[in-house]
Amino acid sequence: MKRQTFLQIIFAALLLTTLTTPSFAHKVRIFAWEEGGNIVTESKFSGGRAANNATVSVIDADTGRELLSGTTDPEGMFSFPLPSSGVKNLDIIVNGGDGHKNHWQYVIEYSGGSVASPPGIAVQPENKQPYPEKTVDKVTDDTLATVTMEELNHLLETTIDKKLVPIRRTLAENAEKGPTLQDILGGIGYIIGLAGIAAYVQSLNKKKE
Amino acid sequence: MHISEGVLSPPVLLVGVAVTVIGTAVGLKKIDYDRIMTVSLLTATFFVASLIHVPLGPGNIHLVLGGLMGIVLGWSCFPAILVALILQTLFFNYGGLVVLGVNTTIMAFPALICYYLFRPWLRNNGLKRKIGAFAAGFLAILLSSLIMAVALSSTDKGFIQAAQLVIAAHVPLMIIEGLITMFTVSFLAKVLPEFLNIGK
Repeated sequence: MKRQTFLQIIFAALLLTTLTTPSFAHKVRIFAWEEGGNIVTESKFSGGRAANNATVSVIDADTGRELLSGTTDPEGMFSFPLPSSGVKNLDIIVNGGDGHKNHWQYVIEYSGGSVASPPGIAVQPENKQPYPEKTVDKVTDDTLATVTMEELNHLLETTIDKKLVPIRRTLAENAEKGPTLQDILGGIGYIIGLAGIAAYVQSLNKKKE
Repeated sequence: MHISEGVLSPPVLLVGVAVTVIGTAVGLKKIDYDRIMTVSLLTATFFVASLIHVPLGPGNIHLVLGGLMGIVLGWSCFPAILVALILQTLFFNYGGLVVLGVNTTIMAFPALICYYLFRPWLRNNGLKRKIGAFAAGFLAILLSSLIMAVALSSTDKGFIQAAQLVIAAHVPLMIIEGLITMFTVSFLAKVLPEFLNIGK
């Protein structure tokens, strides 16, 4: 009877454990996404608490050079402007200060007419061929068309960027998953297996004696 | 309680490995046929306990149960915690294989100290047993935080700052672990005294 209550309590404890699993234990994680010409990073402790006042350093993954660093605000956010062109792979490292550290690899995509490209540099229009160059009037017309094309491109890019922010953020957030039930049961299985091996070795020793 | 990879310097890592190797060797010697199931049951408990969160304090803390491991297992808490930490690293991505030695030391060494300090208190039923169990749960986390602060201070920030940060984050956990250890021990002593190796 007593044994039964003991087993019941163990079962209840296991059930409680599996119910509380979605949070990720004691670990800091960081994720980053692009938002209007800035790279925004968010750092969280396992379980969803924001990692405030944590050090974030941004490193050029190709050269190993540190580009910049800073600390997160109370919401665990830290944002910095897109680094100058030429830098493609970023390694964003967060250090919680209490022994927790993690990093996020970020690849910058330089698209044509991107927000980051400085104004004044003419971007070659892709659909230039169909327009024949004949008169002076036509040429000005053509450049006018190019500018509006560029502006349209720019407008589209920024709008799409803005609309994509929540999606990018969710994607970044879901890139790392907490332990699943399979992980937990697998671990317990390993422990039972090790106990079996230990018992086997001990029984061999007993036989020898 | 799990230090991530890439935070500590090599000398600290080596000290952790040395302590873990010695502790595990002694601990394995102490496991006899009758103790295997006790050790592996507590290993499983420790492995799973890290998934129970305590949403208090500045960070997010999970149960460690170092005190319980220590007073029940003695030296054998070293192999038990080592195995559980290896599995947590592989399955849950906590800590890392390089810092395994340090992390084992952080959790198992205080557990061992609690064994020597409070194990005698558990012999007889009564208030003394409860206080001993609570103190074991409380002290194990306190000492773990201190060792963690020492390990961190040698590489990162100054000791005082690291200690303040770590201990402040773990104060609620010390009290909760103390209570859990107290209830678990008094419950086991009533229901399964042979599990604790003590008289009723």
